[in-house]
Amino acid sequence: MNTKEDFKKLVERLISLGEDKDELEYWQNIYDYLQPEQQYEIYKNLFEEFEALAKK
Amino acid sequence: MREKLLYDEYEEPQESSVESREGDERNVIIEQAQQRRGNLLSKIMTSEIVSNGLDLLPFAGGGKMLVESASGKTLSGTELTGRDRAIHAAIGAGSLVLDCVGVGEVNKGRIVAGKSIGWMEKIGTMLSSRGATRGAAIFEKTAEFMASHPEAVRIAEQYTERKLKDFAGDAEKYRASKRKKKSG
Repeated sequence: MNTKEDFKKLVERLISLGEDKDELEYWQNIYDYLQPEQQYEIYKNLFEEFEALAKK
Repeated sequence: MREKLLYDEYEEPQESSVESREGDERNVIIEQAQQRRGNLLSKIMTSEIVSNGLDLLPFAGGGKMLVESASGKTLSGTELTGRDRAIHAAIGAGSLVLDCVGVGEVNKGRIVAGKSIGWMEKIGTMLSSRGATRGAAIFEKTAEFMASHPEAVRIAEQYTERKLKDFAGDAEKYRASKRKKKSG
């Protein structure tokens, strides 16, 4: 299971790669209130994006 | 573990090495991920409403219809950012609250403009009164996020208003054709 710290780190990386800071900070703000499966889904979305961007 | 390794090995690209073709590809990756997040947010918010038994079900397709019809551009053709998509998704899900006034009200004046942040607060309060504090917090945080981006909210409200009116118009045409068939 990924922690909030992992999530925060991923958000920071994506922002540095050109992602929308406001949107990702919003997700960070609601992260603690999401169900575990929803946390997993948003983490997966961001991680897959990060992987794809890191390859470019 | 794989994720940690990737972080450790990752080096930020030098700006000078980024070709424009690569830039386009990166933009596509970002846009697709943002669109998926918009759909995910709409799903999360709708599920909070439905699973906590708020009496907003008859219009439940509205949010999905609105967020899925957001093609990535505003009515004036401007590209949506991730922030814009999140706001569209939230308003789409929040439009479930319209059931309180009835779909029939959609064509009477402005029903969305200046109201969407209030919808978030209202749903947050309804969830809170049912003890769904986690769900309530999502709507409250979303209301705060939207309040800090008034221009994006105004544009998303305009889009939603148009889509809801189209939706109500189609529904009315359908009902009229059913009445005609019955009487004929």
